[in-house]
Amino acid sequence: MTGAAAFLRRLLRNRLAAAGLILLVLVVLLAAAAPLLPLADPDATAPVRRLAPPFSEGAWLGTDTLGRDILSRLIWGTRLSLAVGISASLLAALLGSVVGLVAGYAGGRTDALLMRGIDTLMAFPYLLLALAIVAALGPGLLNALYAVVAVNIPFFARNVRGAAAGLRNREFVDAARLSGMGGLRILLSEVLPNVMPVIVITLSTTIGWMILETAGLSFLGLGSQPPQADLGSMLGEGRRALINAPHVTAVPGVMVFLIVMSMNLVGDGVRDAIDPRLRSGLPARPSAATRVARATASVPGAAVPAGAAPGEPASGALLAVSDLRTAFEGPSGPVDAVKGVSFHVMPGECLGIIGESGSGKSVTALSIARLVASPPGVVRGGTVRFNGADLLALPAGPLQRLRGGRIAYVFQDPLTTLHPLMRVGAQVTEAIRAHAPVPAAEAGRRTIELFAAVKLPDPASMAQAFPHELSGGQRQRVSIAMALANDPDLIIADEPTTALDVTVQAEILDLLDALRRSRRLAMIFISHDFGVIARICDRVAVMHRGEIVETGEARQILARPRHPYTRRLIAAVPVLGRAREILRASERAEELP
Amino acid sequence: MAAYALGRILALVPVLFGLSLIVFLIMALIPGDPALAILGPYATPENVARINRDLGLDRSLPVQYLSWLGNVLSGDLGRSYSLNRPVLDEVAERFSATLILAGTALLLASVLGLLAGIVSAVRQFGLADKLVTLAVLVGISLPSFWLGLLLILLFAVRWRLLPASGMYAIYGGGDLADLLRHLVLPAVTLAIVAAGVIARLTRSAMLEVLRQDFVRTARAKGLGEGRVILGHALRAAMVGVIPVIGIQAGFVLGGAVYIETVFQWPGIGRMLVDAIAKRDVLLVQGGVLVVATCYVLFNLAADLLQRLLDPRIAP
Amino acid sequence: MTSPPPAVEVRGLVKTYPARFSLFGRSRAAVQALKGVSLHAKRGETLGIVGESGSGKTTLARSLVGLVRPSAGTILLDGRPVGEHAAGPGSLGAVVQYVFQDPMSSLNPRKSVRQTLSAPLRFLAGLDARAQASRLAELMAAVDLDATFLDRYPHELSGGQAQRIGIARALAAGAGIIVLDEPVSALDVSVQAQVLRLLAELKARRGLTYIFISHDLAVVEAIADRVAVMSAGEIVEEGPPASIFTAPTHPYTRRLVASVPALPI
Repeated sequence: MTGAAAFLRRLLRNRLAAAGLILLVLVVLLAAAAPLLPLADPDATAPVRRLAPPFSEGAWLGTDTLGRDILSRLIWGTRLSLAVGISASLLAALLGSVVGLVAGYAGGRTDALLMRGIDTLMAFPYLLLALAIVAALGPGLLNALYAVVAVNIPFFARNVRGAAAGLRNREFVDAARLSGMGGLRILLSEVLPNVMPVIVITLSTTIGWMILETAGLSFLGLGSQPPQADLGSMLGEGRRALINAPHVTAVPGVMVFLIVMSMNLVGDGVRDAIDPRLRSGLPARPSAATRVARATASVPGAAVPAGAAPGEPASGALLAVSDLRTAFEGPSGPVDAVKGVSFHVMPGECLGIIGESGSGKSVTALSIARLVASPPGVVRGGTVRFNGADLLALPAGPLQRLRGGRIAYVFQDPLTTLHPLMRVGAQVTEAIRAHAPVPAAEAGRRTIELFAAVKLPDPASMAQAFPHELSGGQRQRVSIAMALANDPDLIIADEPTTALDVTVQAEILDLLDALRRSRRLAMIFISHDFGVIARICDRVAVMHRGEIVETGEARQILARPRHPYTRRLIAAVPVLGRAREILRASERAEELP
Repeated sequence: MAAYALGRILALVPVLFGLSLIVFLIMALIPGDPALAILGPYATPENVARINRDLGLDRSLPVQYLSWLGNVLSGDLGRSYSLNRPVLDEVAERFSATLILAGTALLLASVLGLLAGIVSAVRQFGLADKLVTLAVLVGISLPSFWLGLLLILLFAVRWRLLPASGMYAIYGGGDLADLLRHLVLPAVTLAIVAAGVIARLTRSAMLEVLRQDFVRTARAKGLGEGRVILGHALRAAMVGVIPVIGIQAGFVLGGAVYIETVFQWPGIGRMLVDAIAKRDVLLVQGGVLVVATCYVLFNLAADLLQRLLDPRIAP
Repeated sequence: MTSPPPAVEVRGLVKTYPARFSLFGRSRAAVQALKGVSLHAKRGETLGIVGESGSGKTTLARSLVGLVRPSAGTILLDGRPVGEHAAGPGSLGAVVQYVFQDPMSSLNPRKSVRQTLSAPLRFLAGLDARAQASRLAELMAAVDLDATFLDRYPHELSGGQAQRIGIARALAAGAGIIVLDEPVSALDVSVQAQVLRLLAELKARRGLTYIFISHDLAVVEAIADRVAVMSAGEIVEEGPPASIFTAPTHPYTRRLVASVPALPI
């Protein structure tokens, strides 16, 4: 299967994981070849030759307290430790996954019963349960293996159950049910393949631990019994000669370390290779402001994109964006999301930017105050002049004062854009105090005034609420209050009503419109919805594939779109009262170039 | 919050019940005559008769469990035949030594792990991040029992800076400074793995949170980077880190078994290993029961702390 | 001789999510998602259901296909109760099918389009491999997709293409009743219009009955023959789209219609 090959390629591209894999393969080969190698008998004692140092004749790694050959014991011990550790991991993975799958998929009482059992196992501090089991079964390698399996089952059961329970209510499982598939078939062919990555990740990240634990039990004398040696018992026995002959413990210690480290490296690599979020490159921490890397040849007005309205910086414009280019860095170089966009906003004016998903409208909006996540975002060209100053050239300090000060944002989904763990009042108060040295009590009072201004009921007690306690409309009112906190000149609203019901949307639009007029705010309103833009904006810019294809008076563009894309788009919008037209109109519109 | 706390405390009842059942079954499932197994070398006829009477070993399993549970609840964990003293006295004495060691180690691990994780996330791909990542990798791959031996060899034998063993201070033999001197090596050894795990998780939680929408909101309202990272991002990341500290407490308590063996620390871990070797089942049973119960209570505290930080958790 | 039964008939449907007491204070009051809903749809008719979030429209839709078990009331499909369909040889999935809101999450990310579409052919229609192959080609043609899409995986599809696959899956076993739960809400407007047009064509050609659920009044107007307005678990108004959206009588409908941002053309 190509999937496996692609997976291996991704894994090996990670240099650390590749190194770990090579080391691990070498160790496993060495252990597997133990019977073929010309090694001394690992259990043959020779009291005369006890504690020989490394590089002695006939004993490369020296001998232990009973004069046994350490090299031979090391290789045979590694073989035993690997065999026990790996079997324990596979057993724990199998049993834990079965429990987790059944609990997660069945849900209800089965789930509650199984997970209560798992919780009880997890109520024991890890190694202690293993000790208790060995205490009951008696010391011995096999009993140590059972103990390690038992204490590791909960990890698999919990992870797999979480994944399976998440899938149980996914729509494709419902769809499979409606396609006539039975419960067991759904579990095996729909749920299991999607849970498999979780099992593999859990296995690859815990196998190192399990090797350590079996070694640890042997170290305590509860695992392998003399004369049979695994790495743990070699360490335990060598302790007695720690001071005179440190190599007796160092040799198995280093081996355990190398095995566990290589397994951890491979495990991390496997996790990164499987985790879909990491497939498109490493997730990087977004920095405080979008990186600006403008080409030196950015001569203003040199290249006005054809078909777009020229962004002549109208005199007196509050904001003038010209030839803005924002790109996202990908594995094969930067990909432009915004390709030379120019527009301006006059004081007190509302400019709508409309476009479908992927048109670059949000990236344009975020580029203004350099809030595009960076990396991967980078502004590659153009200027953003606000009151004459180029925001793209501004150092961090002044940019910070501008954000939330003169330029404020309202984002789409207020549930994710408000801090989930802070009271909403505190979040607004914080915005006030970030810009003005106001005492806390005074800022709190102003917050309540703002909440009243955005028509939140009972503003004082509302300020004490957490975001999840409010409705979607109330949360968006909080966001708007936060944007108003420092009397900005410009509000940039990025799809502020998309997540809301239509009646709530109407209320929020009315509020924004009223606030804008009473406070003489300029506004940039991003939306995919013509109706919304028409209701609130004076002018509109239509974006398509990173470019503005048309700008003009909102009513005029809607009535007489000039650009074919705009025409096609408007024809596709169902209008209440004559929505049936789109079933015919779209046919005609698609014939346009 | 009070309702939540009460709910959590009540939810512990079935867990504690299950825990007591498992601990009881460990003794009940020992193959052969339980009285002989419990008494081992001390199996004189009088002792066998006495233990059969005390534990009701001739009765059915559920009846045995109930009478055992009754004894446990009234503070009677039985008598250790190898030490010839009540199990509870021995366990209490040993457990206080373990708590000093494990508590110090967990504190150390949390502070180190959080700091390293934050620095590593903030300086992602920088030198500090690479150093932390390497240290974490080595830390979580080292067998702690071997690391302990190495530290003894270096600090106690070679450089003679710190004692390798002989902590008697908690029995009144020395002062606080003496206790601390004895504590350094074992606590550091025990803390290293947990610190690695916590650092790793803090780093990934921070990186995850820093990509979220509300961090962009914090920047959009003009907050400085310091406040964005420590005030907004860390606060949200802690919600994911605290349960892991709770789990690490279990690893630290378990890992203490190795460390106490290596450093001759008179804690409950070493007691358990000795008791297993001598097949003193009642001592093992009592020790495991007490430690597990304390661990459950510790996790309750972590849960409540979590809920204080995250009001979204249902009341 | 009586007239044929309506394709869908719902009488007094109630769904109550019970209060939850989990011993320790974690309780939740009972939620009545449906408070006695009655409706019907003739064969070949499209019944639009309009409502805002929390109105119970999705619960209604899911109970029509047996994904939610109603607390009270009856659902008759082609004149027979839902329970009988489920038990009989021609199981429920062969009578009624469902199109999901989010086309991406309704497809198993690890299955090719072919595997996804084969499931209903195999388990509901009982076709052998040869018959499946020819039926697959026919299905793809019906939803205007090239047959090469059969070997793609969901992540290789656009939203509109994925929703076409969702529609093909619903058609696969020949069900005459299709429940569409916000089938175009996740799509861009231009794609939305194409999918709506496809749905209208399929209905005309195959005589399907649609229960079309949406929060978007204009979309419902475009496709529905009759509209029911839901609010708080009840149907508050019902009628042809022309009269409902131009002359609403119920205050809630009036508020809803007034809230829709209109294009001032």
